[in-house]
Amino acid sequence: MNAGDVDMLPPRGRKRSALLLLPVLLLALVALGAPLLAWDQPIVCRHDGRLYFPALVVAGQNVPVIGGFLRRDVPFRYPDFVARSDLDATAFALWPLIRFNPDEYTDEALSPPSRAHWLGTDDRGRDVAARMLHGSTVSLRVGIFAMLLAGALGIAVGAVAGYFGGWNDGVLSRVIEATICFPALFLILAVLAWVGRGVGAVVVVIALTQWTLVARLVRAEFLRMRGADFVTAARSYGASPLWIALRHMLPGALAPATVTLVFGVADAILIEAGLSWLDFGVPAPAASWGGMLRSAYEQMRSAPHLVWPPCVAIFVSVLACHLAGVWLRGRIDPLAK
Amino acid sequence: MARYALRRLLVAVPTLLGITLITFVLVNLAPGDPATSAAAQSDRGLTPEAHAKLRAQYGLDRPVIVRYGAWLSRVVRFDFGRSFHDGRSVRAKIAERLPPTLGLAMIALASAVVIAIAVGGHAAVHAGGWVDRFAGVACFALSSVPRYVMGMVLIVVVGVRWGLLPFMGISSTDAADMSAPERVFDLIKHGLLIGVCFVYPLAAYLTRFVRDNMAVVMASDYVRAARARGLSQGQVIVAHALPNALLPLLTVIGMLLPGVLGGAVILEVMFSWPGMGLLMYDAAMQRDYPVIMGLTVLTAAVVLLGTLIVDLLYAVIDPRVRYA
Repeated sequence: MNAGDVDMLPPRGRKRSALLLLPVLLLALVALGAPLLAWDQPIVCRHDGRLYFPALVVAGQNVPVIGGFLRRDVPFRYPDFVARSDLDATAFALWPLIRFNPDEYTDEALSPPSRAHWLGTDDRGRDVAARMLHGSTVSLRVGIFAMLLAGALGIAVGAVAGYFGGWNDGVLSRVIEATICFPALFLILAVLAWVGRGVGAVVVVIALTQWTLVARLVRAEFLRMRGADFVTAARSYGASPLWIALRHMLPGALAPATVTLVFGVADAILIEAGLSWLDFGVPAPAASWGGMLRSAYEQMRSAPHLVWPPCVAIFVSVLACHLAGVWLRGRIDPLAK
Repeated sequence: MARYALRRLLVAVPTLLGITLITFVLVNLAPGDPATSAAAQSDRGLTPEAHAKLRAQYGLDRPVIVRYGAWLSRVVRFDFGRSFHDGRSVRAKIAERLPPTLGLAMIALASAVVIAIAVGGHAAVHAGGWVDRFAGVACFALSSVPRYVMGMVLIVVVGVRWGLLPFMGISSTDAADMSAPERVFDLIKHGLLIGVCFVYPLAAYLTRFVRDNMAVVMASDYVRAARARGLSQGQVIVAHALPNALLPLLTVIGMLLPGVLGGAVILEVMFSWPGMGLLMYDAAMQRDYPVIMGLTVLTAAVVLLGTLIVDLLYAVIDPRVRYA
């Protein structure tokens, strides 16, 4: 044992290469641009003497806020318009990698991987590769929004408990404790019964079960900082509690909370897939990895090839979030080398 | 210490009450009730009168808060009522589901601890060696594989393609005709795949934990002092390093315990493992309120007790921690 070994002892606060962010960035790109990779209409094409961007418009519609203002062009929004056959084959068209819509039923059900369907088709004849790519949109959306909600809730509760301490802390700590003890499955069913199934319900359910991690962390940080000189100084010149909490204490607690939230996105993604596997999650026609895993489970004897795409997708995205979390942890740690 | 424990127990009572009240109200006020789902099972339409009669039979026609009071007064006498689904007592239903979940959890935890001490200890003693590097990467990768993903892969590869191991239920259909050793072997075969799904995340987590703790201990002054006195590597590790590195492991196990004991709904549904998770799933699907409430009380009590034991363990293990 020499002194050099001590350096590598705590793996926590080591600075890491920003390359660790690459997987999560790629994942985000796939989630945003899924229709550019797999869709049954071209990205760009010339039709009746005009340029259309059908798949690009669909990708734009997936973007929050802006998406609401986008509308698909006339021939391409009609269900009876099949771009693969109705477009002039000689006219210019730039197609996505996979020329299938994730929700499109074809005649070949449960076919193994082939030249037409790279990862095969599921029980309704839908292209598995297209569904796998589009599943990332649902997963990442749920993961990010659930953690934003959980973060807001956790920071608010943790800050109040940690800033005021005493009686407030006692009550809020019991609330946190109760939430941890609460059987998550029953909470999920209750929320689903009230809100109805959908992405929103899944986001709310995940946020309601996952906010306690952040709350406990922020509470501990605030308790630690309460007696610090910079807080006493701020108080002495008459700063309001809200100002002290937001301006002086929150920045110190925000960094560790962010790390927890990034790891939390991974948890949220796998909770969402698990819920969809149990058929409580994102409702059926939408492409979700959990739903794909469920149909693979039901067809495990007739079509074992269905298992791999959702498994790989879930593993890769969880791993990507973990790598980003590790990078961030090294990044915010002031003691990191 | 005893006073602290008592105070914590007293504080846990209102927390437990709060949890049960919220669960009771949430589950009862949610749209749909067991009368409707019982009617759906009978395949026939239900007249409003028949529905009202069913509701009265289940005691669902009274206000929620009255029902909660009645439920609570029975629970303090350890009477959790009868299942709406099959009329059996909730206590008996839970009691028969405990052994599969608890047995699996304890065996999984024990195996994970053994793996963690062996691999983590070796990695720390030979820090930077190939075991250390390989274990580091493997632990990180494995901690990114969700348990149900591993379960699906094992089912499809080991269960279906290779046909090596059974993956549905806890025993074969002809288990009744088997001799005792055969039955044990049959049980082990059924538990192996779902068992692996429980072991590997625990093992990955605990290995990292043991490795990091042990590495700090190995670099400490008293280990250097022990070496200076001429102790062999084996003596240093077994008598000086391991005991100190393993003490924090106890508290971590205590922290993991509630999650481990709670079972895993998805895994138990996936493997048709007749444990607490599957009961929870079935009760939720059938709106079996008495079973739901019984499970809520049990899991909440286990988690509360688990955290209390962890806090007390800190004081037992580390004499510097004082509770007043």
